[in-house]
Amino acid sequence: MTTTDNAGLLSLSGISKSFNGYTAVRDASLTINAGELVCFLGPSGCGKTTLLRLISGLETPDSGHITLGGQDITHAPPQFRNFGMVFQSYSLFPHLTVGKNVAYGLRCRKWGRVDTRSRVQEMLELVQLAEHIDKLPHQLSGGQQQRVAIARALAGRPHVLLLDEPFSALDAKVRAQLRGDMRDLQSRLGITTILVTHDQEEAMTVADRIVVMKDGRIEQIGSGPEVYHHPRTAFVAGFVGDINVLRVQRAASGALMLAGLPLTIHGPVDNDCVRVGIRPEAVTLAVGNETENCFPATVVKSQFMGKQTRLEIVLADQFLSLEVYGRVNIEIPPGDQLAVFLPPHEIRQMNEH
Amino acid sequence: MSTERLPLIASLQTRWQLGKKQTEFLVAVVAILPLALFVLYPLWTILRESVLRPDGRWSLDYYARYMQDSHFRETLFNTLNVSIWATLATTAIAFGYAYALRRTKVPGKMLWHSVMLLPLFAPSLIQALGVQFILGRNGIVNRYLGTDIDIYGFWGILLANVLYGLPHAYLVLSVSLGAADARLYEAAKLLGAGGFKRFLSVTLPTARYGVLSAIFLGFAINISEFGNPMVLGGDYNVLATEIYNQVAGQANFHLGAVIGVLLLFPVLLSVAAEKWIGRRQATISSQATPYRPVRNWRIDGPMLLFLGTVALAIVAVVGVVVVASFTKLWPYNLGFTLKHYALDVPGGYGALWVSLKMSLATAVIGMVVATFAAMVVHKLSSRLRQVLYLLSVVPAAVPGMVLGLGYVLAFNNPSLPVYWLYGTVALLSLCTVYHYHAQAFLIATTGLKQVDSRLQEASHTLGGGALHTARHVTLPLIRPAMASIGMFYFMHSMVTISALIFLVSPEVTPAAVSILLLNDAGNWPQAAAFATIIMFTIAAVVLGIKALAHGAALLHKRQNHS
Repeated sequence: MTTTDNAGLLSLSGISKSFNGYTAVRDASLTINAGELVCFLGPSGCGKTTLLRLISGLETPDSGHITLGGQDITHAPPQFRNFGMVFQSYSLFPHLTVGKNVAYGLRCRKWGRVDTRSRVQEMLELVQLAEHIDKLPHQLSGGQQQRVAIARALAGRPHVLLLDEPFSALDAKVRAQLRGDMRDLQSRLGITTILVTHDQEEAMTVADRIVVMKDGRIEQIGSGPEVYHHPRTAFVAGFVGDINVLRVQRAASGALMLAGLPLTIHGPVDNDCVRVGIRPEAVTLAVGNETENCFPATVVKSQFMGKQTRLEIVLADQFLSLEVYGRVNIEIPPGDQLAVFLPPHEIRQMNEH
Repeated sequence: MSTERLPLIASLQTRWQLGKKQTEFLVAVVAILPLALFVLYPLWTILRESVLRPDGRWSLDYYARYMQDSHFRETLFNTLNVSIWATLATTAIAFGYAYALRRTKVPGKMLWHSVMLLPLFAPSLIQALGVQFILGRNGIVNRYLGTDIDIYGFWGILLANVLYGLPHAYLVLSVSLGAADARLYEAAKLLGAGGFKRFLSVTLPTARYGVLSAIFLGFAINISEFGNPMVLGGDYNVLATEIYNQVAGQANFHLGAVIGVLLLFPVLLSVAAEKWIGRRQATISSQATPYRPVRNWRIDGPMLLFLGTVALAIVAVVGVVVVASFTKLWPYNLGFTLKHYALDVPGGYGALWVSLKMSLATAVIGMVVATFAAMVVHKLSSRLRQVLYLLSVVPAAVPGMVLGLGYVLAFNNPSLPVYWLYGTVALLSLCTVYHYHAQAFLIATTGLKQVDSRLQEASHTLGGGALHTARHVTLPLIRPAMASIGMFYFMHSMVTISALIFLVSPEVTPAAVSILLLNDAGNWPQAAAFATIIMFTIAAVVLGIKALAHGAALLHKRQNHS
């Protein structure tokens, strides 16, 4: 999965970090290209924030290397890296005004007075908060505070922008708005960005590439559609959406069997394949003209959800859920027998790793 | 993105890595050195003085001589005797007081609480003076009831020590009794336990660490108390006064040092025990239901009576000093006069000036020293961190008398490069700074813990180094804690006696020490006047600073709004 592409701006190789015997990140390797927006996605405790802190220099890895534009910065302290960072808790300096917060990094980097003033103005206009320049952080709403934090992080023209769950303390509406604004800003400025999140929808919406993590390990790296449609592990499949996992048998010929019937899948079958996955929205009710992958099933539960109806069915002895879109005029009561179709190109082989 | 500035990172990085270890070491040394000089070195000097014979050989001769002398053995017994009884009495009364406020529904809780804390704002001698004015030879009781009570000795010390120690024990017990889980009481009730049984089986066990803490804290305070036995001891000698007699009276530094060491060890053990217990204090679980007392006059009534009695004693002892300072000849002629405020004794108002100068210097130096130590401990990762922490809290276990004696022995030495400090107000300030270093250090540490570490991290990622971050982020945010430290030092510096008694000279005598000298000379009215002046000075300065801070905050707000 590692690309040793020299075009990559930021590159991690074999990064590990443990705290008091607990391994937070193990052997993480990854290359991020200039101008790209990469999401670190995973449940809490998966090591995504630690990995971000290692990149920022706030933590130092136990082993491995971090390079920026080909230079080793593994042990450089954060103040020499010029990476902009935005925290979940905003972390604006409470005793400084909005303007002084944005100017803080410029002062540290010895910008002149005139340059500083015009840059602060420019950044605040960029996040549409220019009129709040003399306010103290506590006089702003959460969303406004986070915009100031983004302006502050961007003011010093950082090499990379690091965002640590920046929207999770905000309510849903503000979150969606700010997320969109941030994405626009990012592509407009072309700044290389890493966003840490546990929200798969957020990752899908904004990321060029998603890095899915679990237990300190990188499970998969890929674009949103790649990760969604071609999850490499059952964990990734389950974390970036719902998926039905079905046990399959192997016939003497090597063909896959499900509920005693042959199961066709797209592409070659792995030798050790014992499980396949299919997303609920990919399963359809059989219409009768299918030539393969039609299976009889019993309805267990039927739930009307507006634009779709969600069905829980039993196929042989395995549970499966599917979503039927469009207007379903007929009631589908529990106990009904029906046939479902599993499109071959939608079926994925599931490996443990 | 622009990568033209990248080469800089690599070169800075090597320089930084080389420098980081050395810088940390240097900063730690800068923090440790003054503590070594002003705490460890004086203690070491005392220890050396107590075992060094005139011929330059080390021996325990002085200790042997001390122990063989029946007068000294009696002093040792007296000290333990009065300290233990005072400690038990203080703890019992403070427990009752805290229990009444925390676990019953007596009216006027705010008032009772404030009265209990009143002695903390008064010179430590005020209890001794007050007891004397009420129960002394020329006290109001003997005068108007015609009795012949002789308070001087065991009972006088006991009474004054109890009154002095009460707020300290009360604060510890109040915290301990405040953490009550109502569910335990409900369970006990359902199981059929009566009121007294519940007290024995639930209240006492949950408060036992608090009680033990209060006992050890009280013992450490009582055994090292100097002012009360000085005024009320009479012929009843205790270690603290004995040091003073040996050193100031007979210039017998070796015996003084021996007594200092004898005094140091029980205090050291008590403080260590108190800290150890404090750490085991049961923390109440987050699911606990707070205990809500219900009105029950069968308990609240007697409790109210008890609170009233204790509070009256506290107020009376302080109040009688103020009243006596305005009367012509206490207790014979109670006419109003201001003549005692002329302070026509040597020193006079100059002593107040010395006190103010010294206290302001103590506040400023102490604020810097304690905050610096706390910040270094907070940041440091090496083993020096533990060394610095230990040195910072050790002064809590050193009685003022012992520290003061150490200063005389250590700094009255012309071969020392800091000899010029000896006999100056500056040395008095430094002595006070390090005497109360542990408490100030803990205030600073608490303040630092309240600053979100993300703010410091934000500063680092924005390009701020350790120094820049400390100056522009950390320090502005712990300003309230620093103000508390300054206030704490100012108040204690205005009233402390024990550590300074050996360091004063006729030109440099702070007001609190003047009270003792005036009292010793039998000039009680002026001693009372001086004590009153100190109390009102403290109140005025504290209120003045609060008003200033409030005004500054208002101004700041207005500027930000304009």
